[in-house]
Amino acid sequence: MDLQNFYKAIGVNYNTVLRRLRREDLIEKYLKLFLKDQTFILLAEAKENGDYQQLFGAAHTIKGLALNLELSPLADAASSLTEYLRNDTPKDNTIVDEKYEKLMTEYNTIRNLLQ
Amino acid sequence: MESMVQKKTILIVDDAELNRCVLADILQEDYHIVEASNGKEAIEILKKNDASISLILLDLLMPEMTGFDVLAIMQKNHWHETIPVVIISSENSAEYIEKSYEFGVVDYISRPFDPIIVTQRVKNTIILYSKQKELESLVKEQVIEKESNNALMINILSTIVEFRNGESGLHVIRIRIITEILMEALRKRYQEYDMAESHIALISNAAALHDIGKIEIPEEILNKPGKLTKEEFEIMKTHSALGAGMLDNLRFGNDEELVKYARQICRWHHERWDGNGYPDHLKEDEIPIAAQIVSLADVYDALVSERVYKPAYSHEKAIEMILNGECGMFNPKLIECLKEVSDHLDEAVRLRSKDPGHLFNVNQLSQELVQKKGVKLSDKTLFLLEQERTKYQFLTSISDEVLFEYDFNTDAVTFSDRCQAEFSIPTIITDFLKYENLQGKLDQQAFEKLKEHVFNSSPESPTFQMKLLLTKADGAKEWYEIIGRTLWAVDSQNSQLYSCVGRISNIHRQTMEGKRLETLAQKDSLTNLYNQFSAKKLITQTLEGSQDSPGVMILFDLDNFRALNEQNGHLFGDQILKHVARLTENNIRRMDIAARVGGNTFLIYLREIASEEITMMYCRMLSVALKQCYQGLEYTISIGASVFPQNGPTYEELFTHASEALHTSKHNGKNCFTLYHPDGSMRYAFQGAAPE
Repeated sequence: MDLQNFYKAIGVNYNTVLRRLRREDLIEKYLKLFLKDQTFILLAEAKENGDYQQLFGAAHTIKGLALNLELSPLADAASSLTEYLRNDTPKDNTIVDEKYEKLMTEYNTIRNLLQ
Repeated sequence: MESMVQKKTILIVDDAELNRCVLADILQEDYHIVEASNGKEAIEILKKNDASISLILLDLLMPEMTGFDVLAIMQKNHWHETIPVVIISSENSAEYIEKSYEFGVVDYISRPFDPIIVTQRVKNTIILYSKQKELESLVKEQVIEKESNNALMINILSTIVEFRNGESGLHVIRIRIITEILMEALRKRYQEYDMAESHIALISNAAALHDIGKIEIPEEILNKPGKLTKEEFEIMKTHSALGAGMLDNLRFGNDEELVKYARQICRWHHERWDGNGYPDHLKEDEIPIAAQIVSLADVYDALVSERVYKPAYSHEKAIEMILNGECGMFNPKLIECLKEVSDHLDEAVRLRSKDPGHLFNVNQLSQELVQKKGVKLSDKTLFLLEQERTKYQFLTSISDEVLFEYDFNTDAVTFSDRCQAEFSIPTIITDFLKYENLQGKLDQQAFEKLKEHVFNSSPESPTFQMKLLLTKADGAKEWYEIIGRTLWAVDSQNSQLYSCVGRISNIHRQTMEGKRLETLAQKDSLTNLYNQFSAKKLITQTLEGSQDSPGVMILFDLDNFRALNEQNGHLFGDQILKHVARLTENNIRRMDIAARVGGNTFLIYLREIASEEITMMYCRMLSVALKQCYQGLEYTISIGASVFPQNGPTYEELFTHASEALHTSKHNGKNCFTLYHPDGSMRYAFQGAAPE
């Protein structure tokens, strides 16, 4: 995996990542774990069932994962969805859809780049 | 103290493996890492290891049990006082942060993690907490020393003062003891005075200084052997105000509690309840309680001791005089206390003055101190606790029974590891009293019974035992026995149920075996019909139970059985018996009883048969059914019958009469049926039917 190109492709400065996570082999290990993480499935399920509580939780977890790995576009998309779902005010389904789609797009981009 | 060589342990709690991984990688060089992927796991780990975990890194948003839930449980168990918690979360909202700090969290690290920051913060927190523990134990030791020194100092001082009065130092010691005894009684009876053990300690110390003012009284007056003149008495009276004045002039420690009490006692230990005392004519509860008590103690001690102006009175006389109001007026509540302790006052004073060093209850005092500041354990205690845990864990792991422990405060049950293999339930179940959480392992009734056992126990009778059906991991239901013991926290006033421990053992095999043996004992082993003993029991029960329901007892046997045996061998004979038994069973209803009551004699009891016709019909049918060829051999049977209730109200009578009828059949050529008739002549029907 060419890590430097990967990060460049998603618009993140590789040096920042390297400084934080220190070793290339560690970064690779984490990215592999990220790809295996089940939270995205939970997210899709929640969206299908219209369970906004679970959706919030899953999006929040994804935000954490993305932040840890400096996957900024994904982190932003996840954050946007999380904040929208945060409190108990009624939600506009189209907006939820929109934000959800954005998240999935970013996720899929990353997936494709890594494989 | 933990050795420097051993790595400290950190617990990481986060539901995403990736997150745990990142943190673990940062920290595992310097620390031993333990991971938990959800709140429940974390609690389980904490329960087993709370002495050895130095820090917890806790995520907030987790499924099932959030970080806050974990913190709440930690608070309940007082773990939060010894184990620092650092929150790791991508949640940055102010309310989450505030809530975390309210739970006593030490630090908050947000994502993304900077390894340098994480390492440093973790290190600092751990160092801080271990220093704290060390300090605590140091302080505790110091407190004890200080208290003892205090007491000693005061003892010395007051003895010197008293010495000048011509009284021995014993007076000081005794005043302290009597004051202490009265205060204990006061605390028990009259809670409104709010006597904590620390107060008792302070006041009894301060009491020693009550006559310190006498230092300024001229010796001629102090030790005059006769009665004092009016002027002399006035001078004497000034010792209270003088003593208080001296304490006022202290350069240091003026507002120490000890000095405060001493001043009260000095100045006002000669006041009276009715306001006629000196120097300030204070009335009733205007007089501080400390002074009131010392006043009474002083009076009592003066009465029972020898003085320059009087001999020593007996304990009884002293009490009498005080109760009669001959020695001043006191708070009626204090008089009550005096009455209460007066029986053993004498004895107690003598005993306690032998060891005046420990004039306050050290245990009680430490207990109160600890209660005010929450429960903390010294390192040594934690070490011992850890040892006990290790032993317990090992012993439960080699036992193949499931052990359990239920905590009433948290309403949670913890099982030993075996529970997973045996019942496939988790080792910790919370909200236990809500039945659903037992996942159908036992039925509602059994659960209610179990609760009954637990709540009906008491400190005097804490153990209980019950048998019940439980569903195993493979779905089968088997018999188990639960033996339990409830644990109580008992103090002087009440007892509280706080825990229950016990064992769940599989007794299925024994129970089933027991049942099998029981059944076996009832049946005849060859034919599997009832044997005579149980037939008699059953039939007797039936007869007693259904007085007005008629029935018929039939006895029959195979004709010429002995010859048959001799011709064809005993084994063959056995086979025929079995054969006949089978046929018999096929020809009775469920409510009837069939038994083998002799070598080749059978008994049938038919219930609810009323008429003779039916009886005869039945026997005819029976003889036909039973007289079948067995392996080419023809055999016949003879039958005798008696009727209930006409032919006898008891089993014995029925049996006798049926026997007689059978006998008659035999005599009449066999292969026939006779019905008993009470007037001696028996009716019989001839059945000469050939075997089919």
